[in-house]
Amino acid sequence: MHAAQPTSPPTPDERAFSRWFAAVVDHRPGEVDAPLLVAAALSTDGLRTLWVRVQLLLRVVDRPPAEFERALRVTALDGAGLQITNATLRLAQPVGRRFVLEDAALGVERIGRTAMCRRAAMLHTDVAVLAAEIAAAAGGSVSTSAPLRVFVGDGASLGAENVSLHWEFARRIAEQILPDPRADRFVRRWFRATLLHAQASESFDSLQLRSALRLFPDDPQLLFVAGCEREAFASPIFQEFARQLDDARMRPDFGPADGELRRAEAYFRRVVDAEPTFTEAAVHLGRVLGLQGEHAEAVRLLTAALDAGGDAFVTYYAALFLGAECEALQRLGDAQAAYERAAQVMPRARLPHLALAHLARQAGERADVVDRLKRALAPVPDDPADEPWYVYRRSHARGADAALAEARRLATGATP
Amino acid sequence: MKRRDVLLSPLVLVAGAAARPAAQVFRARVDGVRLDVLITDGGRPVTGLTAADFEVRDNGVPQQIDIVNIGDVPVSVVLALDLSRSVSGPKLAALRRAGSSLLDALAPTDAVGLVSFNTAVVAETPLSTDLAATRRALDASVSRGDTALVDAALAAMLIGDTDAGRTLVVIFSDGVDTCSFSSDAVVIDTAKRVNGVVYAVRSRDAGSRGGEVLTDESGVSRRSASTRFMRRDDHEFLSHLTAATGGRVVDVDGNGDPGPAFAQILQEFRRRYVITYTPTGVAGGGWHRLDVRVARRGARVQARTGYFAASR
Repeated sequence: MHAAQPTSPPTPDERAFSRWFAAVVDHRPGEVDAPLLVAAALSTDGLRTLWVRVQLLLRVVDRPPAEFERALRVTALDGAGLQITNATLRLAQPVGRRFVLEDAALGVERIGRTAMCRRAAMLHTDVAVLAAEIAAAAGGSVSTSAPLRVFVGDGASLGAENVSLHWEFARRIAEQILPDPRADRFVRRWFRATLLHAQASESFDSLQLRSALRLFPDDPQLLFVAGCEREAFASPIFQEFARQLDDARMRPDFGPADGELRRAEAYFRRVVDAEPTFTEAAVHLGRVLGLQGEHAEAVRLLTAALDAGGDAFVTYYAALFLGAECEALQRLGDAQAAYERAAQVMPRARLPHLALAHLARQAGERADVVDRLKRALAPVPDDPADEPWYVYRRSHARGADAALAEARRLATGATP
Repeated sequence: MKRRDVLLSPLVLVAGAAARPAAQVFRARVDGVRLDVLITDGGRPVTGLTAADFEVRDNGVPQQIDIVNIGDVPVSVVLALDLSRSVSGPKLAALRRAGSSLLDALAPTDAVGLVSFNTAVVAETPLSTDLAATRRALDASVSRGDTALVDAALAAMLIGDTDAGRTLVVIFSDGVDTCSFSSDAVVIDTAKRVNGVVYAVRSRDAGSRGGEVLTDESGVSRRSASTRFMRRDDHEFLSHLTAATGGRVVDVDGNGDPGPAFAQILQEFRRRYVITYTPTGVAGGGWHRLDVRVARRGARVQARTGYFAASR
């Protein structure tokens, strides 16, 4: 492919596109570098215009048009449903003029189409993930806007902010990888990493999850994340918030608790069926079954999960939930043993001691009650390991940083 | 932990309880049952009754009442206060004042302990006659986090139960439980086992009640569903919890002062009769249903619905 000779200087939009393309090539994933600041500086309108150009770029790369066909092809793209008529026409206009797109297409040929998509996806992911650091480096906030994200605390709204449009931008580019994004390791890892990253701060982006499951409907990790999302939506904090929204005739992206628990159960069952050694999924399945009154099956699952082992968090949750399920079945000796196991795994945890205190009361062991209460009601801890229950809704995402690092590595690695 | 093979009853009498020492308690275990009973007529406490006015049935079997006391026994108060994010600014200030007023109303021989709850439940001060320590803790209280109401209720009852005296548990909350681990069933079951009477002060904004209150014949209330999202019904939970111990729920306006409710509860508690009896003619173990009656036309009796006893 040879670039045509320019007949007029590039427009501001074209210059922005060129800078963006250079940022895609030069950004070092995970770093707040100059290319990242270029991408972060794009306005919402700028991102939308850029998206059109990226789509055109990929079409040019996929089927390089002859010079005289270009305007017709670009115009046809507009007719095919792109909703940016004026912008598209501006692109189509200067037949015979050097196209910025064409320069970029040459760049894509150098680094490879897949690599470009991966890098671009990671660039915009980093804009979203590193927003705070970017704002500090840029001396202000990053200007993006799109869907609204509502912060929920103590069952009520604590405010709202716009979700970064860069998430959607990154996802759409990742989905453009050929021949099939489903066959691309980066895309799968990228979805896992970004969903875990969001859920690590209890941010549940159903749109991102739906896109992930559309591409990877049987991926155990993604199904697990989906189950955790539904389990979180069934929790009192989200249900109470939803009830308040309902009063205001607004609709959240989830339903009443019983339905959400059933959906969570269905996801977790698929994970456990596909991957019986996925202990953490079994623990979550055991919990949601217990919440639905299926105590016997919950005990079976949680006991097996406890025997299978896992990291301290998984073992703790298995033991804690097993204790509660055994109590529900009036197996108080087993409940006591399970709570003691939980206390052993996380020595600074509080809730096993509260549960043991009330079991001790039932047994008439008042001295033991006093001792347990001291440990259960000590001053508030700050470390999640001091009481993992407080971080249960995000605990499954504790590998988010490692997953993101892996996605970043794949973004700049060799194409599979 | 091993199961102790004794008759477990709500009664552990304290010798010389009227002159409570600050740091030393002498206890005499008696296989008896103690009941805190409130008698009201037209909503006002009735005083001046004697043992002869009461009839107590334990699993349907009439019992011989040993002692009836009123008002002359030191009390132990466990204050469990909601310090979640929603209790901030003027609400927190009002709550501190209310707590402080309650402390003012206690006698030097009375004990108090403070439990705070948000995401976590913390014993800020142990049950003791050192009221100043609790006052300092109240003044230093800050609000943050979610609401572990159910966990807090469990903790407060267990703390109260470690004291041998007459225990009053006062739970204040302005919100819905959003983060407890303990189940409602476990906590209500515990309420049936522990010594002490639980009152709940429920502060609610007028627009956030989430449905109409329906009250059944036993006095337990629940809310009707007003939306497709069911509120985790803490009114129902608190209603069952307090009823199991012979206490009740006092609703106060969300922006109002809970102080009068606290004062009313303490006053009411002091006017309760303390009835003791040694169970006779009934099997030892398991749940004992209690039926307390008083020979006075129109009087309403408020007492725990029963107690658990371990098998001998």
